[in-house]
Amino acid sequence: MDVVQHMFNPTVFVGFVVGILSLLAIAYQRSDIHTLILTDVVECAMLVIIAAVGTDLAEALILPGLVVGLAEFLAVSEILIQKNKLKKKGRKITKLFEEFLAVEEPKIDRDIDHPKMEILYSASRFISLLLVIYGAFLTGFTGGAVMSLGLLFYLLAQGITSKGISSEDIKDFWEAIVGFSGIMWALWIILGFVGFYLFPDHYVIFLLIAGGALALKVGSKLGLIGDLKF
Amino acid sequence: MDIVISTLYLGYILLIFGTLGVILGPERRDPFVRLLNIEIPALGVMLIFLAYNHTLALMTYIAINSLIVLVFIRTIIRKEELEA
Repeated sequence: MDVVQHMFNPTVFVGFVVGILSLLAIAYQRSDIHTLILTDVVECAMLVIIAAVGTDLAEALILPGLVVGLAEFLAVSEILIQKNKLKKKGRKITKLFEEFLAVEEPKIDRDIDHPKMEILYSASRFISLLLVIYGAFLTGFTGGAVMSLGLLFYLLAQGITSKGISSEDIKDFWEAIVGFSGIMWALWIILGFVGFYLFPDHYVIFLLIAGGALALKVGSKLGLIGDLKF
Repeated sequence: MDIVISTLYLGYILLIFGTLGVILGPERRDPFVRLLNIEIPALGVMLIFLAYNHTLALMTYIAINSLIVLVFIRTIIRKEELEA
């Protein structure tokens, strides 16, 4: 018998114990901020219960859970602060991380030329194409990282050689990539994972859909980092 | 295999007693103390991930955990500023 199968029962037990304890503590809690902090412990219990399965599928389900959890905490904290602000009148509404938000675009008034780096002028398109194709063959997280490296290299090279990419173009491009990444997320979760359960006989097709969609999603998301410079 | 099992049980102990510490521990009225206490069950979750060999999940959890602490600290500071 595999060692992971021996580890399943105690892990699920510990996960349920922690979940029940923290939910009871939330039930007796009155303050908003304490409830929010205790929700973090409930998330620990959820992660442990998923991890008890011990397969690659469990790992692939933990990763979106973590990211969604972070987004939830950000949104709920923002709502909490706004709610407290609305109680007091005469204060202007601010964001949670307002010190870190850019107010206006920084401007560089002198030309920077990079004459030594010939690769940025002549071979940027070829190298990025090579990396994207290689990433598409790798699939999954590794493929996405390689692919995003290609996109990032292309965008940074275009920005340095300033081949007609304006700020408006970048904004449109950003929106388009975000939408594309969302569609790929839906493909990964809905077609990939639900397909495994509904049609187990055709698992190879759904495995390829999930891996390819994951590669495109990670690649497009990380490729957005290249936009921040312009 | 021995070290895997002992890592796993150390993770269980840290998770359960850390949760009890968050819920019933001393000075729990202070949100900062409660937030710092959460690091102990988080370390338990990390050890359990390590025992299960979930490499990507472990690395992402470490990164996300630090970001969550940042968000919570900002929220607590803002809330105390508003209530003062």
